[in-house]
Amino acid sequence: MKVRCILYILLFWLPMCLTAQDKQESTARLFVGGGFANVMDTYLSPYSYKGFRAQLIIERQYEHTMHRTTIHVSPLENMAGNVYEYDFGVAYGVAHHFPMLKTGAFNIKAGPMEHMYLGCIYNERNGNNPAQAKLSLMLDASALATYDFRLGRKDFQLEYSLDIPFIGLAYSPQFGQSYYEEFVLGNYDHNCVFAHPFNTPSLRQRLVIDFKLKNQGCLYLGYDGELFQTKYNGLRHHSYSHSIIMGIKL
Amino acid sequence: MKKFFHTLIYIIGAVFMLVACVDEELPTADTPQGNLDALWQLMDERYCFFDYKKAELGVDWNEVHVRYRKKLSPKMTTLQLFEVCCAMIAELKDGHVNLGASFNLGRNWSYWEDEPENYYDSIARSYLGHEYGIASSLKYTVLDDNIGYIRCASFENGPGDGNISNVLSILAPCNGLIIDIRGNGGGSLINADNLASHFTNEKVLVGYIYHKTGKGHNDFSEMKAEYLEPAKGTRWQKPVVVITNRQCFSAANDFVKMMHCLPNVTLLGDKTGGGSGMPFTQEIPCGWSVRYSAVVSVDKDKQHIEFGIEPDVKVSMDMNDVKRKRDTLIEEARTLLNQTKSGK
Repeated sequence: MKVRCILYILLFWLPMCLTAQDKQESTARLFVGGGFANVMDTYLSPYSYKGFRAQLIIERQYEHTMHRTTIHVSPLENMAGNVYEYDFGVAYGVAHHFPMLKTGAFNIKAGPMEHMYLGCIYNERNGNNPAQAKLSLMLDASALATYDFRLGRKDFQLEYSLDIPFIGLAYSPQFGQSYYEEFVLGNYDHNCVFAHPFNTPSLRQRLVIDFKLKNQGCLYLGYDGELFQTKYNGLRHHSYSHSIIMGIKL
Repeated sequence: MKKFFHTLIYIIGAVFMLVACVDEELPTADTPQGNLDALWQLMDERYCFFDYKKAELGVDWNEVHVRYRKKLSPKMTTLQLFEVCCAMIAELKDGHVNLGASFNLGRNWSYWEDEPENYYDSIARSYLGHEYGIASSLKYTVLDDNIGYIRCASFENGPGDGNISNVLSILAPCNGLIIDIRGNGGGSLINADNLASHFTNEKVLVGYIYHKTGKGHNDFSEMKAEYLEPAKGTRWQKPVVVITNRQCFSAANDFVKMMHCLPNVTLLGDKTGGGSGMPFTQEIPCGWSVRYSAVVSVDKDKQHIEFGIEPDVKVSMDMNDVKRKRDTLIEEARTLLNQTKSGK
Protein backbone atom coordinates (compact mmCIF):
# COMPACT_ATOMS: atom_id res chain seq x y z
CA MET A 1 0.00 0.00 0.00
CA LYS A 2 2.84 2.36 0.88
CA VAL A 3 4.50 1.72 -2.45
CA ARG A 4 1.23 2.51 -4.26
CA CYS A 5 0.84 5.76 -2.31
CA ILE A 6 4.37 6.82 -3.24
CA LEU A 7 3.66 5.95 -6.87
CA TYR A 8 0.46 8.01 -6.86
CA ILE A 9 2.36 10.97 -5.42
CA LEU A 10 5.08 10.63 -8.02
CA LEU A 11 2.64 10.20 -10.88
CA PHE A 12 0.00 12.72 -9.92
CA TRP A 13 1.18 15.40 -7.63
CA LEU A 14 4.76 16.00 -8.64
CA PRO A 15 3.93 16.80 -12.28
CA MET A 16 0.92 18.86 -11.21
CA CYS A 17 3.11 20.94 -8.92
CA LEU A 18 5.55 21.49 -11.72
CA THR A 19 2.68 22.54 -14.02
CA ALA A 20 1.46 25.06 -11.50
CA GLN A 21 4.83 26.81 -11.63
CA ASP A 22 4.67 27.20 -15.42
CA LYS A 23 2.68 30.37 -15.98
CA GLN A 24 4.14 31.23 -19.35
CA GLU A 25 2.16 32.05 -22.46
CA SER A 26 0.84 29.03 -24.24
CA THR A 27 0.39 27.77 -27.78
CA ALA A 28 -2.54 25.50 -28.54
CA ARG A 29 -2.60 23.12 -31.46
CA LEU A 30 -5.24 20.83 -32.88
CA PHE A 31 -4.38 17.80 -34.98
CA VAL A 32 -6.52 15.32 -36.83
CA GLY A 33 -5.05 12.15 -38.18
CA GLY A 34 -5.76 8.92 -39.90
CA GLY A 35 -3.76 5.85 -40.61
CA PHE A 36 -3.18 2.17 -40.07
CA ALA A 37 -3.70 0.25 -36.83
CA ASN A 38 -2.71 -3.26 -35.81
CA VAL A 39 -4.12 -4.37 -32.46
CA MET A 40 -3.78 -7.67 -30.64
CA ASP A 41 -5.11 -8.53 -27.22
CA THR A 42 -4.92 -12.17 -26.23
CA TYR A 43 -7.79 -11.80 -23.74
CA LEU A 44 -10.00 -11.40 -26.82
CA SER A 45 -8.16 -13.23 -29.58
CA PRO A 46 -4.73 -14.76 -30.12
CA TYR A 47 -4.45 -12.90 -33.42
CA SER A 48 -3.93 -9.34 -34.58
CA TYR A 49 -6.80 -7.28 -35.89
CA LYS A 50 -6.00 -4.65 -38.49
CA GLY A 51 -7.80 -1.59 -39.68
CA PHE A 52 -8.09 2.18 -39.79
CA ARG A 53 -7.25 4.54 -36.98
CA ALA A 54 -8.75 8.01 -36.66
CA GLN A 55 -7.41 10.33 -34.02
CA LEU A 56 -7.77 13.80 -32.64
CA ILE A 57 -4.98 15.47 -30.69
CA ILE A 58 -5.33 18.67 -28.70
CA GLU A 59 -2.13 20.09 -27.37
CA ARG A 60 -1.24 23.11 -25.30
CA GLN A 61 2.42 24.02 -25.08
CA TYR A 62 3.81 26.26 -22.35
CA GLU A 63 7.45 27.14 -22.05
CA HIS A 64 8.33 24.05 -20.03
CA THR A 65 5.09 22.12 -19.97
CA MET A 66 2.99 20.43 -22.58
CA HIS A 67 -0.57 19.12 -22.09
CA ARG A 68 -1.76 16.64 -24.65
CA THR A 69 -5.14 14.95 -25.03
CA THR A 70 -5.48 12.23 -27.65
CA ILE A 71 -8.71 10.52 -28.65
CA HIS A 72 -8.65 7.62 -31.06
CA VAL A 73 -11.10 5.20 -32.63
CA SER A 74 -10.15 2.13 -34.65
CA PRO A 75 -12.54 -0.25 -36.39
CA LEU A 76 -10.51 -3.42 -36.90
CA GLU A 77 -10.96 -6.70 -38.71
CA ASN A 78 -9.50 -10.16 -38.07
CA MET A 79 -7.33 -11.82 -40.68
CA ALA A 80 -10.21 -13.94 -41.97
CA GLY A 81 -12.28 -10.77 -42.41
CA ASN A 82 -15.35 -12.12 -40.60
CA VAL A 83 -15.21 -10.39 -37.20
CA TYR A 84 -14.83 -6.77 -36.15
CA GLU A 85 -13.15 -5.35 -33.12
CA TYR A 86 -13.37 -1.73 -32.02
CA ASP A 87 -10.54 -0.02 -30.19
CA PHE A 88 -11.18 3.37 -28.64
CA GLY A 89 -9.41 5.35 -25.99
CA VAL A 90 -8.60 8.70 -24.46
CA ALA A 91 -5.11 9.61 -23.32
CA TYR A 92 -4.11 12.64 -21.35
CA GLY A 93 -0.52 13.55 -20.72
CA VAL A 94 1.36 16.35 -19.03
CA ALA A 95 5.02 16.58 -20.00
CA HIS A 96 7.67 18.72 -18.32
CA HIS A 97 10.39 19.55 -20.77
CA PHE A 98 13.65 20.98 -19.49
CA PRO A 99 16.28 22.37 -21.85
CA MET A 100 18.93 19.75 -22.55
CA LEU A 101 20.73 21.17 -25.54
CA LYS A 102 20.49 24.35 -27.59
CA THR A 103 22.80 25.00 -30.50
CA GLY A 104 21.56 27.67 -32.88
CA ALA A 105 18.46 26.40 -34.59
CA PHE A 106 18.59 23.05 -32.88
CA ASN A 107 16.87 22.60 -29.54
CA ILE A 108 16.35 19.51 -27.37
CA LYS A 109 14.17 19.37 -24.29
CA ALA A 110 13.44 16.36 -22.14
CA GLY A 111 11.74 15.43 -18.92
CA PRO A 112 9.07 13.35 -17.24
CA MET A 113 5.54 12.97 -18.55
CA GLU A 114 2.53 11.97 -16.54
CA HIS A 115 0.31 9.92 -18.77
CA MET A 116 -3.19 8.59 -18.14
CA TYR A 117 -5.08 6.31 -20.48
CA LEU A 118 -8.63 5.06 -20.46
CA GLY A 119 -9.87 2.85 -23.25
CA CYS A 120 -11.56 -0.31 -24.37
CA ILE A 121 -11.26 -2.93 -27.07
CA TYR A 122 -14.58 -4.54 -27.93
CA ASN A 123 -14.89 -7.76 -29.90
CA GLU A 124 -18.34 -8.12 -31.44
CA ARG A 125 -18.34 -11.95 -31.37
CA ASN A 126 -17.03 -12.91 -27.94
CA GLY A 127 -19.46 -13.93 -25.21
CA ASN A 128 -18.11 -13.78 -21.65
CA ASN A 129 -14.90 -12.03 -22.73
CA PRO A 130 -16.38 -9.40 -25.08
CA ALA A 131 -14.11 -6.52 -24.19
CA GLN A 132 -10.84 -5.60 -22.66
CA ALA A 133 -10.81 -2.47 -20.51
CA LYS A 134 -7.64 -0.43 -20.60
CA LEU A 135 -6.70 1.81 -17.73
CA SER A 136 -3.22 2.99 -16.90
CA LEU A 137 -1.37 5.70 -15.10
CA MET A 138 2.21 5.98 -16.23
CA LEU A 139 5.26 8.11 -15.78
CA ASP A 140 6.94 8.39 -19.16
CA ALA A 141 10.31 9.64 -20.27
CA SER A 142 9.58 12.38 -22.80
CA ALA A 143 11.79 14.28 -25.22
CA LEU A 144 11.14 17.03 -27.73
CA ALA A 145 13.61 18.12 -30.41
CA THR A 146 13.06 21.07 -32.74
CA TYR A 147 15.03 22.39 -35.67
CA ASP A 148 14.29 25.78 -37.25
CA PHE A 149 15.26 26.29 -40.85
CA ARG A 150 14.51 28.44 -43.85
CA LEU A 151 13.66 27.23 -47.34
CA GLY A 152 13.49 30.03 -49.86
CA ARG A 153 11.67 32.82 -48.13
CA LYS A 154 9.68 30.53 -45.88
CA ASP A 155 10.38 29.67 -42.23
CA PHE A 156 9.89 26.09 -41.14
CA GLN A 157 10.30 24.11 -38.00
CA LEU A 158 10.85 20.39 -37.77
CA GLU A 159 9.70 18.85 -34.51
CA TYR A 160 10.28 15.34 -33.23
CA SER A 161 8.84 14.07 -29.98
CA LEU A 162 9.37 10.74 -28.27
CA ASP A 163 7.60 9.38 -25.18
CA ILE A 164 8.65 6.12 -23.59
CA PRO A 165 6.46 4.68 -20.80
CA PHE A 166 8.68 4.10 -17.79
CA ILE A 167 6.82 3.10 -14.66
CA GLY A 168 3.24 3.14 -13.50
CA LEU A 169 0.11 1.23 -12.67
CA ALA A 170 -2.17 -0.52 -15.10
CA TYR A 171 -5.35 -2.54 -14.94
CA SER A 172 -5.47 -6.03 -16.40
CA PRO A 173 -7.66 -9.07 -15.84
CA GLN A 174 -5.86 -12.30 -14.98
CA PHE A 175 -5.10 -14.79 -17.82
CA GLY A 176 -8.45 -16.61 -17.69
CA GLN A 177 -10.36 -14.39 -15.28
CA SER A 178 -13.90 -13.35 -16.13
CA TYR A 179 -15.41 -9.93 -15.54
CA TYR A 180 -18.18 -11.76 -13.66
CA GLU A 181 -15.63 -12.83 -11.03
CA GLU A 182 -14.14 -9.36 -10.81
CA PHE A 183 -17.12 -7.06 -10.90
CA VAL A 184 -20.04 -9.23 -9.70
CA LEU A 185 -18.32 -11.42 -7.12
CA GLY A 186 -15.51 -8.96 -6.32
CA ASN A 187 -12.80 -11.61 -6.71
CA TYR A 188 -9.74 -9.60 -7.68
CA ASP A 189 -6.54 -11.32 -8.71
CA HIS A 190 -3.52 -9.06 -9.23
CA ASN A 191 -5.61 -6.79 -11.42
CA CYS A 192 -3.56 -3.73 -10.56
CA VAL A 193 -0.24 -4.34 -12.27
CA PHE A 194 3.05 -2.55 -11.72
CA ALA A 195 4.13 -1.48 -15.20
CA HIS A 196 7.77 -1.09 -16.16
CA PRO A 197 9.82 -1.15 -19.40
CA PHE A 198 10.10 -4.95 -19.36
CA ASN A 199 6.34 -5.61 -19.31
CA THR A 200 5.38 -2.38 -21.13
CA PRO A 201 8.02 -1.99 -23.87
CA SER A 202 6.42 0.87 -25.76
CA LEU A 203 6.96 4.22 -27.37
CA ARG A 204 5.06 7.02 -29.01
CA GLN A 205 6.76 9.26 -31.50
CA ARG A 206 5.82 12.10 -33.75
CA LEU A 207 7.53 14.03 -36.51
CA VAL A 208 5.88 17.28 -37.53
CA ILE A 209 6.84 19.98 -39.95
CA ASP A 210 5.53 23.40 -39.13
CA PHE A 211 4.62 25.75 -42.00
CA LYS A 212 4.54 29.26 -40.67
CA LEU A 213 1.90 31.42 -42.31
CA LYS A 214 2.02 35.17 -42.85
CA ASN A 215 -0.82 35.96 -40.45
CA GLN A 216 0.97 34.45 -37.39
CA GLY A 217 -0.82 31.20 -38.05
CA CYS A 218 0.73 27.79 -38.55
CA LEU A 219 -0.09 24.63 -40.42
CA TYR A 220 1.32 21.30 -39.31
CA LEU A 221 1.83 18.14 -41.25
CA GLY A 222 3.45 15.04 -39.90
CA TYR A 223 3.60 11.44 -38.80
CA ASP A 224 2.36 10.02 -35.51
CA GLY A 225 3.34 6.52 -34.50
CA GLU A 226 2.53 4.42 -31.51
CA LEU A 227 4.10 1.11 -30.62
CA PHE A 228 2.36 0.16 -27.43
CA GLN A 229 2.85 -3.28 -25.93
CA THR A 230 2.10 -4.96 -22.63
CA LYS A 231 2.56 -8.36 -21.07
CA TYR A 232 0.45 -8.42 -17.91
CA ASN A 233 -0.85 -11.50 -16.07
CA GLY A 234 0.05 -13.79 -18.97
CA LEU A 235 -1.98 -11.70 -21.41
CA ARG A 236 -0.27 -10.02 -24.32
CA HIS A 237 -1.38 -6.83 -25.96
CA HIS A 238 -0.03 -4.69 -28.72
CA SER A 239 -1.35 -1.63 -30.46
CA TYR A 240 0.74 -0.44 -33.39
CA SER A 241 -0.43 2.58 -35.31
CA HIS A 242 1.04 4.77 -37.99
CA SER A 243 -0.91 7.90 -38.86
CA ILE A 244 -0.56 10.97 -41.00
CA ILE A 245 -1.57 13.99 -38.98
CA MET A 246 -2.50 17.53 -39.97
CA GLY A 247 -2.95 20.38 -37.58
CA ILE A 248 -3.56 24.05 -37.04
CA LYS A 249 -2.59 26.56 -34.44
CA LEU A 250 -5.58 27.57 -32.36
CA MET B 1 27.58 17.06 -29.34
CA LYS B 2 28.55 14.02 -31.43
CA LYS B 3 28.69 11.85 -28.34
CA PHE B 4 25.25 13.11 -27.33
CA PHE B 5 23.77 12.18 -30.69
CA HIS B 6 25.36 8.76 -30.60
CA THR B 7 23.92 8.16 -27.15
CA LEU B 8 20.49 9.33 -28.35
CA ILE B 9 20.60 7.00 -31.35
CA TYR B 10 21.63 4.07 -29.15
CA ILE B 11 18.76 4.77 -26.76
CA ILE B 12 16.20 5.00 -29.56
CA GLY B 13 17.65 1.86 -31.17
CA ALA B 14 17.45 -0.03 -27.89
CA VAL B 15 13.85 1.06 -27.42
CA PHE B 16 12.92 -0.11 -30.93
CA MET B 17 14.53 -3.50 -30.24
CA LEU B 18 12.66 -3.72 -26.97
CA VAL B 19 9.30 -2.93 -28.54
CA ALA B 20 9.55 -5.52 -31.31
CA CYS B 21 8.59 -8.52 -29.21
CA VAL B 22 4.86 -8.83 -28.46
CA ASP B 23 3.34 -10.87 -31.25
CA GLU B 24 1.14 -13.88 -32.01
CA GLU B 25 1.93 -17.06 -30.08
CA LEU B 26 -0.31 -19.45 -32.00
CA PRO B 27 0.11 -20.83 -35.54
CA THR B 28 -1.08 -18.23 -38.05
CA ALA B 29 -1.17 -20.31 -41.23
CA ASP B 30 -4.69 -20.69 -42.61
CA THR B 31 -4.07 -24.28 -43.71
CA PRO B 32 -5.63 -27.52 -42.42
CA GLN B 33 -2.57 -28.16 -40.24
CA GLY B 34 -2.26 -24.53 -39.14
CA ASN B 35 -5.90 -24.39 -38.07
CA LEU B 36 -5.92 -27.75 -36.30
CA ASP B 37 -2.66 -26.94 -34.49
CA ALA B 38 -3.98 -23.53 -33.48
CA LEU B 39 -7.20 -25.08 -32.18
CA TRP B 40 -5.33 -27.75 -30.25
CA GLN B 41 -2.86 -25.25 -28.75
CA LEU B 42 -5.57 -22.74 -27.88
CA MET B 43 -7.47 -25.41 -25.98
CA ASP B 44 -4.27 -26.80 -24.47
CA GLU B 45 -3.39 -23.42 -22.98
CA ARG B 46 -6.81 -22.16 -21.99
CA TYR B 47 -9.29 -25.00 -21.38
CA CYS B 48 -9.83 -25.50 -17.65
CA PHE B 49 -10.94 -29.14 -17.23
CA PHE B 50 -8.09 -31.22 -18.69
CA ASP B 51 -7.16 -33.02 -15.48
CA TYR B 52 -10.80 -33.67 -14.61
CA LYS B 53 -11.56 -34.95 -18.12
CA LYS B 54 -8.48 -37.17 -18.01
CA ALA B 55 -9.64 -38.68 -14.73
CA GLU B 56 -13.28 -39.10 -15.80
CA LEU B 57 -13.00 -39.83 -19.51
CA GLY B 58 -9.34 -40.77 -19.99
CA VAL B 59 -8.75 -37.89 -22.40
CA ASP B 60 -5.02 -37.48 -23.11
CA TRP B 61 -4.87 -34.19 -24.98
CA ASN B 62 -1.40 -34.85 -26.45
CA GLU B 63 -2.54 -38.21 -27.79
CA VAL B 64 -5.65 -36.53 -29.22
CA HIS B 65 -3.44 -34.10 -31.13
CA VAL B 66 -1.35 -36.90 -32.67
CA ARG B 67 -4.46 -38.91 -33.59
CA TYR B 68 -6.32 -36.06 -35.28
CA ARG B 69 -3.28 -34.70 -37.09
CA LYS B 70 -3.16 -38.01 -38.97
CA LYS B 71 -6.63 -37.28 -40.32
CA LEU B 72 -5.46 -34.12 -42.11
CA SER B 73 -4.54 -33.85 -45.73
CA PRO B 74 -3.45 -30.70 -47.58
CA LYS B 75 -6.24 -31.11 -50.14
CA MET B 76 -9.11 -31.63 -47.73
CA THR B 77 -12.15 -29.38 -48.08
CA THR B 78 -13.30 -26.82 -45.55
CA LEU B 79 -16.18 -29.06 -44.53
CA GLN B 80 -13.83 -31.99 -43.99
CA LEU B 81 -11.49 -29.84 -41.89
CA PHE B 82 -14.45 -28.60 -39.85
CA GLU B 83 -15.51 -32.20 -39.24
CA VAL B 84 -12.03 -33.23 -38.05
CA CYS B 85 -11.69 -30.17 -35.78
CA CYS B 86 -15.16 -30.75 -34.29
CA ALA B 87 -14.43 -34.41 -33.65
CA MET B 88 -11.21 -33.42 -31.88
CA ILE B 89 -12.86 -31.01 -29.44
CA ALA B 90 -15.85 -33.35 -28.99
CA GLU B 91 -13.46 -35.70 -27.18
CA LEU B 92 -13.81 -33.37 -24.19
CA LYS B 93 -17.58 -34.02 -23.95
CA ASP B 94 -18.25 -30.45 -22.91
CA GLY B 95 -21.36 -28.62 -24.04
CA HIS B 96 -19.49 -25.34 -23.64
CA VAL B 97 -16.88 -26.34 -26.19
CA ASN B 98 -17.95 -25.26 -29.66
CA LEU B 99 -16.43 -24.49 -33.00
CA GLY B 100 -18.43 -21.83 -34.80
CA ALA B 101 -18.42 -21.38 -38.56
CA SER B 102 -20.90 -19.52 -40.70
CA PHE B 103 -22.27 -22.85 -41.97
CA ASN B 104 -22.34 -24.95 -38.79
CA LEU B 105 -21.82 -25.09 -35.04
CA GLY B 106 -19.49 -27.84 -33.87
CA ARG B 107 -20.71 -29.30 -30.58
CA ASN B 108 -21.05 -32.30 -28.35
CA TRP B 109 -24.52 -32.31 -26.82
CA SER B 110 -24.49 -36.01 -25.97
CA TYR B 111 -25.06 -35.06 -22.32
CA TRP B 112 -28.74 -34.62 -23.16
CA GLU B 113 -29.19 -35.96 -26.69
CA ASP B 114 -28.38 -39.51 -25.55
CA GLU B 115 -30.56 -39.26 -22.44
CA PRO B 116 -34.32 -39.31 -21.83
CA GLU B 117 -35.79 -35.84 -22.13
CA ASN B 118 -38.32 -36.23 -19.30
CA TYR B 119 -40.23 -33.28 -20.64
CA TYR B 120 -43.11 -32.88 -23.04
CA ASP B 121 -43.77 -29.26 -23.81
CA SER B 122 -47.44 -29.73 -24.72
CA ILE B 123 -48.12 -31.58 -21.47
CA ALA B 124 -46.23 -29.07 -19.30
CA ARG B 125 -48.09 -26.23 -21.03
CA SER B 126 -51.42 -27.84 -20.13
CA TYR B 127 -50.56 -27.24 -16.46
CA LEU B 128 -50.13 -23.53 -17.18
CA GLY B 129 -53.51 -23.38 -18.92
CA HIS B 130 -54.51 -20.12 -20.60
CA GLU B 131 -54.66 -17.74 -17.65
CA TYR B 132 -51.06 -17.99 -16.55
CA GLY B 133 -48.96 -14.93 -15.75
CA ILE B 134 -45.81 -13.86 -17.56
CA ALA B 135 -43.11 -11.88 -15.80
CA SER B 136 -39.99 -11.61 -17.95
CA SER B 137 -38.74 -15.17 -18.45
CA LEU B 138 -41.08 -16.59 -15.81
CA LYS B 139 -44.49 -18.11 -16.57
CA TYR B 140 -46.54 -18.90 -13.49
CA THR B 141 -49.88 -20.15 -12.26
CA VAL B 142 -51.57 -21.71 -9.23
CA LEU B 143 -52.38 -25.42 -9.61
CA ASP B 144 -55.66 -26.95 -8.36
CA ASP B 145 -54.17 -28.12 -5.07
CA ASN B 146 -52.94 -24.60 -4.24
CA ILE B 147 -49.37 -25.29 -5.31
CA GLY B 148 -47.61 -22.47 -7.16
CA TYR B 149 -46.00 -23.40 -10.45
CA ILE B 150 -43.24 -21.35 -12.10
CA ARG B 151 -41.83 -22.29 -15.46
CA CYS B 152 -38.38 -20.82 -16.16
CA ALA B 153 -37.13 -22.01 -19.55
CA SER B 154 -34.10 -19.73 -19.82
CA PHE B 155 -31.81 -17.38 -17.93
CA GLU B 156 -30.90 -15.46 -21.09
CA ASN B 157 -33.14 -12.45 -20.43
CA GLY B 158 -34.19 -12.07 -16.84
CA PRO B 159 -35.89 -12.57 -14.55
CA GLY B 160 -35.02 -9.41 -12.64
CA ASP B 161 -35.52 -8.86 -8.92
CA GLY B 162 -38.77 -6.95 -9.48
CA ASN B 163 -40.24 -9.73 -11.60
CA ILE B 164 -39.39 -12.40 -9.04
CA SER B 165 -40.64 -10.38 -6.06
CA ASN B 166 -43.97 -9.71 -7.76
CA VAL B 167 -44.46 -13.33 -8.81
CA LEU B 168 -43.63 -14.64 -5.34
CA SER B 169 -45.98 -12.11 -3.75
CA ILE B 170 -48.80 -13.27 -6.03
CA LEU B 171 -48.07 -16.93 -5.24
CA ALA B 172 -47.59 -16.25 -1.51
CA PRO B 173 -50.92 -17.89 -0.45
CA CYS B 174 -49.82 -21.19 -2.06
CA ASN B 175 -48.78 -24.11 0.15
CA GLY B 176 -45.66 -24.85 -1.84
CA LEU B 177 -43.88 -23.92 -5.01
CA ILE B 178 -42.65 -25.83 -8.05
CA ILE B 179 -39.90 -24.25 -10.13
CA ASP B 180 -39.72 -26.13 -13.40
CA ILE B 181 -36.42 -25.46 -15.19
CA ARG B 182 -36.45 -28.45 -17.54
CA GLY B 183 -34.92 -27.54 -20.88
CA ASN B 184 -33.26 -24.43 -19.42
CA GLY B 185 -29.95 -24.30 -21.30
CA GLY B 186 -28.58 -21.41 -19.24
CA GLY B 187 -27.90 -17.74 -19.89
CA SER B 188 -26.69 -15.18 -17.42
CA LEU B 189 -25.32 -16.28 -14.06
CA ILE B 190 -26.59 -12.99 -12.63
CA ASN B 191 -30.17 -13.94 -13.53
CA ALA B 192 -29.77 -17.41 -12.02
CA ASP B 193 -28.33 -15.85 -8.87
CA ASN B 194 -31.20 -13.32 -8.75
CA LEU B 195 -33.80 -16.07 -8.77
CA ALA B 196 -32.04 -18.24 -6.17
CA SER B 197 -31.52 -15.26 -3.84
CA HIS B 198 -35.29 -15.08 -3.21
CA PHE B 199 -35.25 -18.46 -1.45
CA THR B 200 -32.84 -17.77 1.39
CA ASN B 201 -33.01 -15.54 4.45
CA GLU B 202 -29.31 -15.69 5.15
CA LYS B 203 -26.00 -15.59 3.36
CA VAL B 204 -25.20 -19.17 2.31
CA LEU B 205 -22.01 -20.73 0.97
CA VAL B 206 -23.01 -22.26 -2.36
CA GLY B 207 -19.69 -23.11 -4.01
CA TYR B 208 -16.29 -21.97 -5.12
CA ILE B 209 -15.00 -20.39 -8.30
CA TYR B 210 -11.53 -20.13 -9.80
CA HIS B 211 -9.86 -19.38 -13.11
CA LYS B 212 -6.76 -20.16 -15.11
CA THR B 213 -3.71 -18.02 -14.41
CA GLY B 214 -1.42 -19.42 -17.08
CA LYS B 215 -0.98 -21.87 -19.92
CA GLY B 216 -0.26 -24.98 -17.84
CA HIS B 217 -3.12 -27.44 -17.29
CA ASN B 218 -2.84 -26.83 -13.54
CA ASP B 219 -2.24 -23.08 -13.52
CA PHE B 220 -5.21 -21.99 -11.43
CA SER B 221 -5.99 -19.17 -9.07
CA GLU B 222 -6.99 -19.99 -5.51
CA MET B 223 -10.60 -21.08 -5.02
CA LYS B 224 -12.77 -18.17 -3.95
CA ALA B 225 -15.93 -18.89 -1.97
CA GLU B 226 -19.20 -18.03 -3.67
CA TYR B 227 -22.06 -16.94 -1.43
CA LEU B 228 -25.77 -16.57 -2.11
CA GLU B 229 -27.03 -13.37 -0.49
CA PRO B 230 -30.71 -13.00 0.43
CA ALA B 231 -32.68 -10.81 -1.97
CA LYS B 232 -33.99 -7.46 -0.80
CA GLY B 233 -37.44 -8.13 -2.25
CA THR B 234 -39.97 -10.86 -1.46
CA ARG B 235 -38.41 -14.03 -0.09
CA TRP B 236 -40.18 -17.39 -0.28
CA GLN B 237 -40.45 -19.23 3.06
CA LYS B 238 -42.36 -22.38 2.16
CA PRO B 239 -41.19 -25.67 0.60
CA VAL B 240 -39.90 -25.59 -2.94
CA VAL B 241 -39.36 -28.35 -5.49
CA VAL B 242 -37.03 -27.64 -8.41
CA ILE B 243 -37.74 -29.93 -11.38
CA THR B 244 -34.68 -30.72 -13.50
CA ASN B 245 -33.72 -32.78 -16.52
CA ARG B 246 -30.58 -33.40 -18.55
CA GLN B 247 -31.10 -30.22 -20.54
CA CYS B 248 -30.49 -28.02 -17.48
CA PHE B 249 -27.11 -26.67 -18.41
CA SER B 250 -24.64 -23.89 -17.59
CA ALA B 251 -26.40 -21.09 -15.63
CA ALA B 252 -29.33 -23.46 -14.97
CA ASN B 253 -26.83 -25.97 -13.54
CA ASP B 254 -25.47 -23.16 -11.38
CA PHE B 255 -28.99 -22.27 -10.23
CA VAL B 256 -29.49 -25.90 -9.17
CA LYS B 257 -26.11 -25.81 -7.40
CA MET B 258 -27.28 -22.83 -5.35
CA MET B 259 -30.79 -24.15 -4.65
CA HIS B 260 -29.29 -27.47 -3.53
CA CYS B 261 -27.69 -25.63 -0.59
CA LEU B 262 -31.02 -24.34 0.75
CA PRO B 263 -32.95 -26.26 3.45
CA ASN B 264 -36.50 -25.87 2.05
CA VAL B 265 -35.57 -26.99 -1.44
CA THR B 266 -35.88 -30.46 -2.98
CA LEU B 267 -34.45 -31.31 -6.38
CA LEU B 268 -36.67 -33.65 -8.34
CA GLY B 269 -36.39 -35.24 -11.77
CA ASP B 270 -33.24 -36.21 -13.63
CA LYS B 271 -29.59 -35.27 -13.19
CA THR B 272 -28.76 -31.87 -14.67
CA GLY B 273 -26.69 -31.57 -17.83
CA GLY B 274 -23.75 -29.87 -16.11
CA GLY B 275 -21.60 -27.25 -17.83
CA SER B 276 -19.87 -25.69 -14.85
CA GLY B 277 -17.14 -23.94 -16.83
CA MET B 278 -17.84 -20.36 -17.82
CA PRO B 279 -17.11 -20.19 -21.55
CA PHE B 280 -14.77 -17.72 -23.24
CA THR B 281 -14.46 -17.22 -26.98
CA GLN B 282 -11.34 -17.05 -29.12
CA GLU B 283 -10.59 -17.95 -32.75
CA ILE B 284 -8.33 -19.82 -35.15
CA PRO B 285 -6.69 -18.49 -38.35
CA CYS B 286 -9.59 -19.31 -40.70
CA GLY B 287 -11.90 -17.15 -38.56
CA TRP B 288 -13.92 -19.92 -36.90
CA SER B 289 -14.81 -19.06 -33.34
CA VAL B 290 -13.68 -21.36 -30.56
CA ARG B 291 -15.71 -21.47 -27.36
CA TYR B 292 -14.21 -23.24 -24.37
CA SER B 293 -14.67 -23.51 -20.60
CA ALA B 294 -12.33 -21.05 -18.92
CA VAL B 295 -13.57 -20.48 -15.36
CA VAL B 296 -14.33 -23.38 -13.03
CA SER B 297 -17.28 -23.44 -10.68
CA VAL B 298 -17.52 -26.23 -8.09
CA ASP B 299 -20.07 -27.00 -5.40
CA LYS B 300 -19.85 -26.14 -1.69
CA ASP B 301 -17.90 -29.37 -1.06
CA LYS B 302 -15.42 -28.37 -3.81
CA GLN B 303 -16.67 -31.19 -6.04
CA HIS B 304 -16.97 -30.77 -9.80
CA ILE B 305 -20.46 -30.35 -11.22
CA GLU B 306 -19.26 -30.29 -14.83
CA PHE B 307 -21.19 -33.48 -15.57
CA GLY B 308 -24.31 -32.46 -13.65
CA ILE B 309 -26.00 -32.53 -10.25
CA GLU B 310 -27.99 -35.54 -9.08
CA PRO B 311 -31.55 -34.81 -7.87
CA ASP B 312 -32.71 -35.58 -4.32
CA VAL B 313 -35.67 -37.50 -5.75
CA LYS B 314 -35.05 -39.27 -9.03
CA VAL B 315 -38.21 -39.33 -11.15
CA SER B 316 -38.58 -40.17 -14.84
CA MET B 317 -41.50 -39.57 -17.13
CA ASP B 318 -43.94 -42.49 -17.05
CA MET B 319 -45.25 -43.35 -20.52
CA ASN B 320 -48.66 -44.25 -19.07
CA ASP B 321 -48.83 -40.71 -17.68
CA VAL B 322 -47.80 -39.31 -21.05
CA LYS B 323 -50.72 -41.14 -22.68
CA ARG B 324 -53.03 -39.54 -20.13
CA LYS B 325 -51.44 -36.11 -20.72
CA ARG B 326 -50.00 -36.08 -17.22
CA ASP B 327 -46.52 -34.88 -16.37
CA THR B 328 -45.08 -37.46 -13.97
CA LEU B 329 -42.48 -35.05 -12.59
CA ILE B 330 -44.96 -32.26 -11.86
CA GLU B 331 -47.36 -34.76 -10.28
CA GLU B 332 -44.60 -36.17 -8.07
CA ALA B 333 -43.57 -32.65 -7.08
CA ARG B 334 -47.18 -31.82 -6.13
CA THR B 335 -47.43 -35.00 -4.08
CA LEU B 336 -44.17 -34.20 -2.31
CA LEU B 337 -45.25 -30.65 -1.48
CA ASN B 338 -48.70 -31.76 -0.29
CA GLN B 339 -47.09 -34.42 1.92
CA THR B 340 -44.73 -31.80 3.36
CA LYS B 341 -47.73 -29.54 4.06
CA SER B 342 -49.59 -32.32 5.86
CA GLY B 343 -46.41 -33.18 7.78
CA LYS B 344 -45.91 -36.68 6.32
